[in-house]
Amino acid sequence: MSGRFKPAVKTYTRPVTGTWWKENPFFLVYMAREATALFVFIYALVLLSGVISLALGQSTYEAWQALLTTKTSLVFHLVLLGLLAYHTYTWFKVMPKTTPQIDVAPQTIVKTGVLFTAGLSVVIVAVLFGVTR
Amino acid sequence: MKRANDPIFWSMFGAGGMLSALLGPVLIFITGIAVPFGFILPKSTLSYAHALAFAQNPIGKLFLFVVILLFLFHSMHRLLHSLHDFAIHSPKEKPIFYGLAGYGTLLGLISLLSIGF
Amino acid sequence: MTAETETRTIEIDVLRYDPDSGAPPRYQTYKVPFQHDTSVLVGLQYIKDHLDGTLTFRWSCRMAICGSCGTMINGIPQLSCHTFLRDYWPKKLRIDPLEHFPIIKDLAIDQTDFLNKLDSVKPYLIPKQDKPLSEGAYLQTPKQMEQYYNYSQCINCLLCYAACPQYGLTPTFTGPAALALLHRYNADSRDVGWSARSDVLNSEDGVWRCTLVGYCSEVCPKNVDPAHAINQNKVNSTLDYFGVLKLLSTVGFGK
Repeated sequence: MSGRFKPAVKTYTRPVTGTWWKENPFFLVYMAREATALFVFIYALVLLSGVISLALGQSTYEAWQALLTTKTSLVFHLVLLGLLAYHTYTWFKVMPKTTPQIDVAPQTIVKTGVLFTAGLSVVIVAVLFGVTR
Repeated sequence: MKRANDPIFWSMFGAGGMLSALLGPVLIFITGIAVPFGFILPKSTLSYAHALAFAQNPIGKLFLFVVILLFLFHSMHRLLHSLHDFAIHSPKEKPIFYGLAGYGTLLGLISLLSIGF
Repeated sequence: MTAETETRTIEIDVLRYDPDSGAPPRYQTYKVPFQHDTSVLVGLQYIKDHLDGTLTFRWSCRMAICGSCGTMINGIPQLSCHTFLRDYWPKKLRIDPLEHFPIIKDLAIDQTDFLNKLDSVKPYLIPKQDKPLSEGAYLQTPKQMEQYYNYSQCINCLLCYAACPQYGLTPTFTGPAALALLHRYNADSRDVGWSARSDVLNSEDGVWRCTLVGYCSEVCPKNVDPAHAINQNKVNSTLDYFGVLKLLSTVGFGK
């Protein structure tokens, strides 16, 4: 940045490469958090493919459904479930940094968020259970 | 100093992050585990007739559209910044990443509209 | 347990750079005797006084308030006066100049970039109107002070810049300390400088370069939370972008 202070004439600048995150565990955790986006993207594609096949008609939709009943799909979705749950945790973990200056402990925000998600999930499945009986 | 247009994309990133944090796990459980294998919920929950009725319902349609839109823009925004974390910068990065999210959303929108009301 | 007066010896690798030769930096190893209460800074002073007078490093207060002696100690940005050799012995210790800054000589880095950024955020109170001394002080409640107090503790030691990968990757980023200080004044009830500082805050090199790695807040020796300052201002910048901030102020919210 230019300004009224002028830089030293002769200096040595160390290069920054794309591997900076490998050396510090704190950065590895950050990269893991960011990587959850890949799995949100993948699930968006699963859902999108379902909607597209639904629009294409009954036989296409049922072919899409058949894919979901394979063992591979089950393992895939179990892994995806775990990774999205990790996304939920990391999302609430950084939330205290985005709120205004308030008198609530960061840990309370994280706990509330995770517990609320768990509760909401149970309620949604319970309601679906009720209406499909 | 040039004002950033980040507020537009960051809003969708934030909304999508929140929505996927709240609903991502349970949606995956329902559509990928419970229903296909008849575990807790019957397989018929997402039968063609039921899925069609859900997608034709205005609220169901809006829900599917919003989930696809926000999940895509959330993930593309974050992956774009991951690109920077790997020290990769390109003048075409924004059109490519947000374009991809927009294209997916458009496909979803067209499908949902063609399903009808 | 080791007696507090026992003298042990530790090996310290220090990155050396000589601007006169211009040769790339290299590590030089020194054997330094130390006791229980020897800080890394005192270890460096031992080297300069007894082993190698050509070693250059900055220091002043020796008690974690001047912010001069920041270095990378085993790759982690720390104040060398606030870090003790006993915690690294019997292993070796590696000392580098603060990451992401150009090296002037050995451990002394060029802070010019930060000084200009600090300048750009107008780090001083911009009151609604100047009032004469006779009218007394600008009053503030403890609650109002709480809004900015944490951010006013910054000692400009630059550990947060050395901790910030986004600053390393994109050096035009305004960075943690300068943005935390920008918020320190914006959050002050006596200040009306939002619009004077919003150009910097709203720009791509303002809050939007941050990806909330959060390491800046981890390494701060004064427990300032720059990550919080920056990320609550992503919300503010967004509200400003969509005109909500203006709307809120016309109906009496905010300042």
